[in-house]
Amino acid sequence: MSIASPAILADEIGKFMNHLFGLKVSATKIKSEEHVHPPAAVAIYTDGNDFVRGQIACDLRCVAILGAALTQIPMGAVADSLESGELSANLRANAYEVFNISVNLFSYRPSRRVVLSEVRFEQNAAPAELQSSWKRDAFQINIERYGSGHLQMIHRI
Amino acid sequence: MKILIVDDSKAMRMIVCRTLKQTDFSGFTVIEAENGIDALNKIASESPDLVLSDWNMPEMKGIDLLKRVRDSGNNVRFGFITSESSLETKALAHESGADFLVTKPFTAGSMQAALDPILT
Repeated sequence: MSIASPAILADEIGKFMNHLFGLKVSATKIKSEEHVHPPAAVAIYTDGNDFVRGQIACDLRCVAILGAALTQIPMGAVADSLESGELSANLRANAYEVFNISVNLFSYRPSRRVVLSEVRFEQNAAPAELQSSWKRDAFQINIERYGSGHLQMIHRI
Repeated sequence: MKILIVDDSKAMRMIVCRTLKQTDFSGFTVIEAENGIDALNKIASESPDLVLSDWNMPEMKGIDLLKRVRDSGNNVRFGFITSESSLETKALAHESGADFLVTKPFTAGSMQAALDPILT
């Protein structure tokens, strides 16, 4: 069964992350083609029937700053990850928690339970079962003191 | 006042603790547990005044921890801090004896609003 989900607004994402990190966060919608970096992490959200409800794909810079901002890890750890191309263990654990909490960006129907099913941490991580019925909205996320990265919200049209 | 924070994520335990310090409440000490079994042991040994628990944890879910606590006759004040926000979850928490449920991400204000009715 295919149920359309409403578009997630940039302001909504910014406010959500502001509450999560306690830092100033802005999200700006960008054209998908500007999202030039391949995803380094994809979070997949499913309902109780294992039906994929939504996905979040982040480039390496984005997933690193999301992880760092959660517990305010020094920016040097982000720089190290960007240089090596791999997330450190604590950045990865924190990013997982950010994705876990971000389930509420997809919980637009309180009667429908949505859970984080899986996070694929790998360069060029592929989203699950992308079809023509999916829409990608790309955002530039800017976090106070940590800079910016690109994030895609993938949801059903 | 002694507050037990139960979460398998060290980062989240730290954030809950930090947020508690940003509320108007003071004079509390925080103890931590990383899973349900650890929490049961600390509830028995430390007698916290309030338990703040995650919902989704490996080994023992938060709701099972609450049921174990209530089944033992312990009426410690108990709230969930969780990414779960469905009506089903909220109803189950309430029916099982939870005092409140705060949805992540939370702010000092939302934490204060949840704790005010039971701590003041």
